[in-house]
Amino acid sequence: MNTQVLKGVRILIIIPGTVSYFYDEEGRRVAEALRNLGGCVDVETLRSYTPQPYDWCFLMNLSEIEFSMQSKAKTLQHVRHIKSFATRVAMILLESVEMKWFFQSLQLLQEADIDILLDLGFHNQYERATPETRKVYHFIFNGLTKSEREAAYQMFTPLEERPLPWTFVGHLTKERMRFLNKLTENLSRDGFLYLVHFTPVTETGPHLNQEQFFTVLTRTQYKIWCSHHPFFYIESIRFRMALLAGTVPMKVNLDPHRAFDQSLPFSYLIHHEDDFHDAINQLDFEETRQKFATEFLEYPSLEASLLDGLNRLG
Amino acid sequence: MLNKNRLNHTPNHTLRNMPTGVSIVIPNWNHEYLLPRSIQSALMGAKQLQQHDIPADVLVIDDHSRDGSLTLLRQLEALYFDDGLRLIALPENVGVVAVRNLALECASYRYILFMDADNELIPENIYMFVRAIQDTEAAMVYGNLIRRGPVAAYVDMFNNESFQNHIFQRNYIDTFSLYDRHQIFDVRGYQSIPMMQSHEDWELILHLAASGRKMVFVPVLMGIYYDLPSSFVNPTRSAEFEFERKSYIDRVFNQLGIRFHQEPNTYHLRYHPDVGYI
Repeated sequence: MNTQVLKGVRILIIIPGTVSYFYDEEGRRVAEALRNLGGCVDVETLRSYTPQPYDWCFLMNLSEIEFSMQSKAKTLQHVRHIKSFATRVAMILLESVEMKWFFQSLQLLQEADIDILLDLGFHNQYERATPETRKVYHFIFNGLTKSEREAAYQMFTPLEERPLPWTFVGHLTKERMRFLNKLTENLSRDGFLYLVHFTPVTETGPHLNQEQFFTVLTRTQYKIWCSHHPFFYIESIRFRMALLAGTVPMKVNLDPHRAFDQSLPFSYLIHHEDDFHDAINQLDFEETRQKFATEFLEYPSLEASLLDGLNRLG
Repeated sequence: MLNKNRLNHTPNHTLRNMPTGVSIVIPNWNHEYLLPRSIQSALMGAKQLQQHDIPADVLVIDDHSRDGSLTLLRQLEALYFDDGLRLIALPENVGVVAVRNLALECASYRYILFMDADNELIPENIYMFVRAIQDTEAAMVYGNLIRRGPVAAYVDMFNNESFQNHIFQRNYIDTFSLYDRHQIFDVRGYQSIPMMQSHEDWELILHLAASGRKMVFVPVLMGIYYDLPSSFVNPTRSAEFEFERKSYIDRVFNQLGIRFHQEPNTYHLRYHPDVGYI
């Protein structure tokens, strides 16, 4: 990788700052990757940025930023202001293009007259997107940054240091409850189970923050989760966090149509709720963890994916 | 007032010299058909603890049931006496508050796990709760409860969050929890207050918080709560007292309206014995 390829390129990344640490974290990862490519990157919020010439501005999900600002009008006003001094502005997305929150972001994107949507994930969602979305959609593989690749095996502690058989963390939904009822009947009842009422994910709870969740995962064998919506989506953040904590990720597919493209990354770790406990019982922890890590490291890095994406955009 | 001298159950220790161990207490009032499930799970829980060298027993207090519970309970006590099943049969109906306070006085061990006859304990997890209450020195530890309704499709979860200040508006922590008797005695146990009728457990939780005690959420499944029509607090009666209840809570616990801006000692305490504080 030519580490100087973005030398002289000035980039502004806007993160929500006060809500959804996922997007804050992703903004910092994108910043790290772009800096590794030689870019000069500032990570700011809409309340803290300084107007100055930038070649690129990446907005870490407009609806999250709007929620953080508590005002749609102010959000749009700031974004239009940024457009006056940044040559190109794009929104970065990390979610299903079929869920309702995405359409809120899309609407903001259109109102702000932004024509680039970068979907940072594990699978191209172009086919699932609406015609309106397709006009602005660009997929970028959410690989590991340089520091993450170096840390990939750091937490690969032995099984005996992982007393929690499984961990399930998220907010409480009817679908998740239905699944957990089955899981605790069919697999085991002694896992770490933390489900809170629906509320924005902030650092102050009741959700676990990044550090707390990571600590729990370092004592866990299998990290289990399912989406809070019925649309098929592979959460790259969840997989990466599992790798760095040395746990095996297991995604529950609640899609009633069940079938999905088996050539997608880590499809052997994604199972329908009806088949889930059989699937997990057949896995060997150490073997699966090694396979998962090896495959993850074989995928393109975030630096390579971003560079490829930016090149495609000219 | 119940005359305790009429009870044929005298603990052979003082309240300040309670042996470390766990008494699983099941108050019963006309729940004959549900008792086998709750008692079986409690006996299995006691067995789990005994395997970890923690003394444990199961104490069922029958609050003068009229549905045949007592006959069943006497048979079960005879069958499972060696496994630690004990019965107190009250000669008159005294209500659940008095029953729980009686358990606080009569139970054999320092820690009490209160459950109801329509609950099922997850036996394999009880040891984690005991480790948690010992490690944190909390007055009370509690965990997730799965709520199952009369139809299979109805399933929910509660008791699933750490202590937050919105509990001063609505309770979300159930009695089905593990308690340190020392500390519950210090705050004088459950109070029978007319406007808090059927919400005495909530009153105790607020009292513990206001007294600086720790209530710790352990993110593990503690049990299953089977919702039956009789499980619910009588909604008409409950609504009738709603205004008085709110006034009482504000008057006692939130006089200056600062509870939402002040974090008690127990605020957001989450602990797992294999992880530590989270």
